[in-house]
Amino acid sequence: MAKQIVKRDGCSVLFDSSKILNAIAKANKAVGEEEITATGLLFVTEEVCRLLEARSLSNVEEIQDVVEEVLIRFGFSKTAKAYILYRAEHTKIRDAETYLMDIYKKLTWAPAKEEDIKRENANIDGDTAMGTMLRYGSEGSKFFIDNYVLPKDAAAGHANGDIHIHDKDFYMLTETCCQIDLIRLFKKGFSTGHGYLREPNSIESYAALACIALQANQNEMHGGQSIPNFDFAMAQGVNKTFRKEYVAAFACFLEVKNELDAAEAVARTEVLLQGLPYQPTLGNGEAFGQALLACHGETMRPLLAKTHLHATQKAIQATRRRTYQAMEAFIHNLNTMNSRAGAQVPFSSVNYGTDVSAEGRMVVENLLLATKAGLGNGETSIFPVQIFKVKAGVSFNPEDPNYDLFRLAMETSARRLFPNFSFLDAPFNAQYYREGDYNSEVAYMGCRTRVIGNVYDTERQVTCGRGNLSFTTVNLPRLGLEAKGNTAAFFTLLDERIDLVFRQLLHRFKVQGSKKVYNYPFLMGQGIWLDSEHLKWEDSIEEVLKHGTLTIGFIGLAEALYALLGKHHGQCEQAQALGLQIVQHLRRRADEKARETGLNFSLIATPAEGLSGRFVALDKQRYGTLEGITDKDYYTNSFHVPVSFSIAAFRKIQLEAPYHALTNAGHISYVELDGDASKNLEAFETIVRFMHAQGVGYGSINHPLDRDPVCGYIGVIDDCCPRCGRKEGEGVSEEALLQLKKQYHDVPM
Amino acid sequence: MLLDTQCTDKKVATEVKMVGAGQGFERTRRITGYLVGTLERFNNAKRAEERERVKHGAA
Amino acid sequence: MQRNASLPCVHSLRVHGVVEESIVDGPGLRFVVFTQGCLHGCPGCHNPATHSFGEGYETTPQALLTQFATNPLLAGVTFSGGEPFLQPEPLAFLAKQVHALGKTVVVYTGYTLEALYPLAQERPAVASLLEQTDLLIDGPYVAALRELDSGLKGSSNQRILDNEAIGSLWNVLQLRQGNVPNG
Repeated sequence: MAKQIVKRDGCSVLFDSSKILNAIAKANKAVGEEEITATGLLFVTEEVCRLLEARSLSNVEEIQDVVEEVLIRFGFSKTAKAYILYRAEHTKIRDAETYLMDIYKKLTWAPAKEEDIKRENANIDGDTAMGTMLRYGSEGSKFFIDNYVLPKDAAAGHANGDIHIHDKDFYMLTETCCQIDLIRLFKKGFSTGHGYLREPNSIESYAALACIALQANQNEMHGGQSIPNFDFAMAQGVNKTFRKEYVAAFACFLEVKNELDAAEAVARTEVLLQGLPYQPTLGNGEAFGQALLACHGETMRPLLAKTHLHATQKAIQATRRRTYQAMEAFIHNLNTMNSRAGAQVPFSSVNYGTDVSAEGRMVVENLLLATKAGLGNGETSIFPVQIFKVKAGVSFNPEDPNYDLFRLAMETSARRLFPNFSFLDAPFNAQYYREGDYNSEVAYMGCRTRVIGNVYDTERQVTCGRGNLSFTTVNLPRLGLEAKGNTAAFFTLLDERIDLVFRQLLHRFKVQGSKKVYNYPFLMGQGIWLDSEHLKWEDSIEEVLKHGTLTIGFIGLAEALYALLGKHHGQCEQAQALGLQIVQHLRRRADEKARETGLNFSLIATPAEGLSGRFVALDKQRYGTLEGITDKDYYTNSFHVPVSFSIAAFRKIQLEAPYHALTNAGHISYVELDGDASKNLEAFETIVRFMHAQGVGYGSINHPLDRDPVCGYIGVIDDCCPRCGRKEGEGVSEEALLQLKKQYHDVPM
Repeated sequence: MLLDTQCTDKKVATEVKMVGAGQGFERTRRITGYLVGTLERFNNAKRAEERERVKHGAA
Repeated sequence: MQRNASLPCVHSLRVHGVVEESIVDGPGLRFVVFTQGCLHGCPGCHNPATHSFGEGYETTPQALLTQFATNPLLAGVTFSGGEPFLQPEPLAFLAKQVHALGKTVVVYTGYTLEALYPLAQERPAVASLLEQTDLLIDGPYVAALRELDSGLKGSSNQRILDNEAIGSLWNVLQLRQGNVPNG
């Protein structure tokens, strides 16, 4: 038996077995049942000592591991659990002094490229002052929450990697995300702080205010912001712009033709256009022309016909140009404007593709063209995340009114990776769809979040004004490892984790519900969140928050299956069947909880931002490097077939599609293409159409997207640029670049 | 493709003015749903994930 | 070219490997068969490992077809190499089966169509494969004429010929040889 044991601070003290006995006794007492007798205690302690000696262990942490092991082996599983909690608790307190300050040191002195902790979110620059300030706040907040806010079991579960509480640093502060209805917001104007913004009157203002709404809301939530009906909302701006352009061109024509002065021409125009049954719009040129002629006498008609024709043509041209510029500015703004103390741009998403009006179509066409053209030097914009809604009868088939936009969307995505594609015909999305009502069209937020069903208020299964409240993810591979190949044991453990997650989500919901409208001056104060417009400044938001979703997620289905069966779902049918069974189980539990509580418990295929490495690192510590499970630096995203597994695209889509139907809080599937997708649109369309056919809800195609900043080439660059021929780091002669400039418009010189 | 796309040999006289020396290529990738303009900001796990992706149909 | 030749059933061919889904070897997603063995020896060739005749492995058109047919996304098959026209019999047979499934055939060759003409006099399957070709990229790779940012071609001397263009050029070659086809 070791005479000395090594404490955590490195110094040695005399071994004393009564300390072990006391710790076990304390843990046993905390349980209240499963009582261990005095003899039992001695027996357990003796066994611990024997193992310590046999394995010649002398380190405190190792001793505690053995205690856990022996308790479990003797069947005192509840005591073991209490002991683990007790241990986690003490670790927390002990670490308090050094842990947080260590993190602050790293944040302060180490460059982001060396410190993983500074690259937790790839879109925040961890090297900037405000980026670092944000990380101080975040780490300090997590520490506070772990030690003073979270229920003990949830804190321990998060710390040891059983579960992951997303955006834990915002636990007491915010909700995840919201789908903003700009049409409602703009109708009455709004305020983001000082002063009041009136209803906008041109496409430029519509686009600019859209950015401001996204930015303002981003500062009151911890997730991304989405516009679910971008084409419908912006169409109104196009409509107003067109009308003004039409009237101006009308007056201009009269001024020249009839040699009037400008003021006179405007006055004449006003009179001539008065009393007509409707306003001129982008789509009603002919009808409006006829109404105009019908309103006036025979002698006026030839002049009016000419004037109308001229005004219509001019107004269409001007509106198109202005819409393009507005969309260009919209993208530029969303890639440059700041939120969160200047540390990052807002996480924004826009959904579109189903508005068949001339105005809505003009918006989408120009947004896509501007996206395709890229930023100032042709760079690819990273925000907003764009989602094209695919719907048979609207945008999917060649005879559909927006099929041309679908084609343009694919062309754009093949060049710029966005837009992604959402499929409103997938049965789980189609069940909500009502023709002509954007509020019934499923939208996706950012990387995958989906909010539409509503058990709290079944009359309001709508998109706008709702979002996710919070989500927590279960580490599936660990369950697979703990179950040791026993599927029944896996499900028992899974149920325990689900119970823990549900308790924790409800705890967080209580915290969130204790907030008042004045905590969210924009989100709640301006009536963006559903039903918040009925609340007063001092009111609690608990009731309206019930429109949001409480979501359980999962990661690493592939590794869990590998742990259970030795194969993942890309490799064998049995694994796919079990994979579906697992995810069905998760969904069933979420549905039951929703029925029981009247709250929107739902299931998400976790996107794993910031989490992809944490679970696996913890499991590697605990179980070592295991082939197919912990032998990588990340766990596979949600239900995806592992990215390193070679599989045909059609198989991947077939295998993943059924999981979309089960994950009602969000999902996405990717296909990886090798080569420049913009040179093979036929291949691109084949894949998107197959996703539609297989019942995928949300999908996207990845392809390498490289750019040479010297000659402006965009496409695939292996080791040398196909346009200017330089290798990474090499120069090109100015002469050669000038020659290229003559050939290609996008050479940045 | 069947045929080669190796870099052409660029022998340039020393007095020619060169542009872009030292500049790398930009590589935009999608990671957990969001696009990122530079791989440097990915955390280690996400870098590993991107590195290990195989394209469909690779023999 | 008209597809009227009756094709013998051929048992095997030597391939370097296949790519199940490619987007860079013709329109749509394509199943690419890299044949083994090539005599052109173009300097700077992308696939030198396909030149020798001893490497690679033997397979059958039927096996390739079975693999091809499982994937509903494929627009067709592409024969690359290696030099496909050194094994025209099994490839023509496979191409015909691919057409029967309503899919298309793209062929890369280091020969020009003009150079294939005399070969076809010795080996009728050369013409059969051409008949089954929807898109032919012909001619050797010439490093000096390398196309930096092109679609299917490697160098600018190469041509992309569709089936109709192959047919009319072939007729011209026949006339030039005084070898007018019957009927």
